[in-house]
Amino acid sequence: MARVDNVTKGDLAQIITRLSKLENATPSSRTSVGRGVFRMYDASELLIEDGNFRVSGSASITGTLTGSGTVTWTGPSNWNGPTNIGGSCTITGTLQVNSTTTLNGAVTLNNNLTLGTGTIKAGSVTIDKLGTASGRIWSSGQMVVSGTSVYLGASTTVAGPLGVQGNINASGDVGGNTKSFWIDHPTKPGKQLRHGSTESPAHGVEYWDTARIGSNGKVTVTLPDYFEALTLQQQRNVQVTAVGQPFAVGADRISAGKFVVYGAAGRDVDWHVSAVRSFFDVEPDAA
Amino acid sequence: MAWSVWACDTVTGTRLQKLPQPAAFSWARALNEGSGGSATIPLRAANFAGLNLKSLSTPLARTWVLDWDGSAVYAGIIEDRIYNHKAGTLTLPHSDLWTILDRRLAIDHREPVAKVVHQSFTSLSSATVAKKMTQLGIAGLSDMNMLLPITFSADSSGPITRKYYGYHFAWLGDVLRDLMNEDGGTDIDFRPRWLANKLDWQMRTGSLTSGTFEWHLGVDKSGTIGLTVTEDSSKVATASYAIGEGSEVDKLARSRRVIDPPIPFLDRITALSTEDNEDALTRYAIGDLAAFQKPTEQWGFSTMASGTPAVSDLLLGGSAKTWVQEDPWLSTGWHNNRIIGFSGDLSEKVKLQLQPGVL
Repeated sequence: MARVDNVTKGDLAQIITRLSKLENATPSSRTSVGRGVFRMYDASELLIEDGNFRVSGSASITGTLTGSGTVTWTGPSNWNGPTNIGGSCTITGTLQVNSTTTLNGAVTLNNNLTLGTGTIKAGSVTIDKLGTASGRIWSSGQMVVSGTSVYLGASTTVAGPLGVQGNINASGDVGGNTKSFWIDHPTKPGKQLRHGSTESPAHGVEYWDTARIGSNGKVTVTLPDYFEALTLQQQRNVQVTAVGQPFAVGADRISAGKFVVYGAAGRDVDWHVSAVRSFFDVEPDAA
Repeated sequence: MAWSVWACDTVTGTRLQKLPQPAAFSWARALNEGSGGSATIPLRAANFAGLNLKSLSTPLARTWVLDWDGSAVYAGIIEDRIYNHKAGTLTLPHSDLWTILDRRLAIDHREPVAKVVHQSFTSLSSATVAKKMTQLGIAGLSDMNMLLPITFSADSSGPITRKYYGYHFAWLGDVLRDLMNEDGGTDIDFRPRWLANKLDWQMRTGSLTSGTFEWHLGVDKSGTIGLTVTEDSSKVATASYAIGEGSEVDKLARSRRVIDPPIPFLDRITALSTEDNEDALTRYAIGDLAAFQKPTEQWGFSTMASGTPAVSDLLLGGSAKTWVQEDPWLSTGWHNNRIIGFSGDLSEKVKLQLQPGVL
């Protein structure tokens, strides 16, 4: 109980003490401004040394804000004016751009680029989604794939004519409504020659040649060594035709890749073998 | 048994000269604050002839000590000199050590840029903080003449954590007053005494309750006269606000109020514009309310310097037990108070100031 109110003393000393403190008070410590403006001008500065500058309300900057230190921003930010980033920019979060974006530099994607409802256009070529599960690459003009190979991993539909300047190598069927060859016409410049293919319910193989009947009235024709492995035993057909003045000709069934032709000794015979390749289903279910 | 007056060097405390009896010498001692008086020298008196009074009364450089029977009762630093040619007198207003403390800043004067040097204290008693700040106030470079003959008591721990900023340029006296005025604050008494034949200010701190003194009012030959009891309500409050630094809604403020006060609700503000310590503000508010929640009661009466107790035995803060009987206002019996001041002149009469307090 140290406070002593000596009634024989006045309060002048206390008043002087309060005045003295007021003279040297630092009201800027714990300062509030409830009205008007706290203005700094004529090159005066607001210096934050090891303190902290906090804005719990809003801050409006109509002049220039410059700095060389680090800006750490964890909340949402809206930049409605032109923004120039002169240095490198790393975005570890999600980047959503709602307006037109122009990338003038090279772009390297080290992760997936997933198309939503938009498209990627390269001239007449467009990449977009097709439905919810498919995508497509299509072109209103020419689409060139200039690599050494193109791999189409699933069923592929070509709606228009498919022009191939090189070979078509297929490990499966090459099918179609008709099968033709188109070549430059061999004798009529400016024209093309188009031949179609004959069809049959069999995937057949054919061999033909000419054989000369030996002095014993027969000759053995040997077919390629893979013939037995390639063809069915059934539906083998051997046709022989006498060359020149008619004479009687005949032939045995093919056996072990060979058959014997009979006829007049020393005469020539044209022979023709047709057979069916193994393991083909002639009437599969529609795809 | 009689009064004597000595001229001493203020800085060293060295006794310079025993002076002839002045024509008048008023003096006062007060607990937790400064006091003073005035001396009047009859320059044409024969016993002052030949004295180098210009040197012995040099303002601030000289301190006059009032001695009672070999004990220093009061010491006053000469503040002014007023020569009256017609009367042939030299009047010397003087004040105790607080006049110096009120004119010294609580900064480290040894530092070239004192405004950036701060003083921090943790877990100390307010008495020890007061001591250390006073020690700071008499520390300086060798050519500053900062030293004063003050002796201090030992340090003690306590709840006070405080920081004094150099840029506040606080006066040492104000710092000490703040430490006294807060709840649980220290008492401070710079008691003059002779130590090794020199003047010494004994800085008494803590709860100064040493000494028990008795007076019998209304008893023949007791020597006590002129009892007055004042009850002053000019500062009474039932709520106290301690206002610290800052502005508007950020201004620091702490308050306390009395629950169910017996008087109409009254506010009181203590402005401490440089205080940034919320705990300190709370202590100020509590201390204020404790002191002013009821009218200040103060007793005053005169006693004899050579009586019992003698003036040289009186201790500020000490217990003053006063026997009263057959009084129309005061009840018969012992009344317990504290000595908060005593004053006098060169006569035998010493005026006591008492207030209820810790006994």
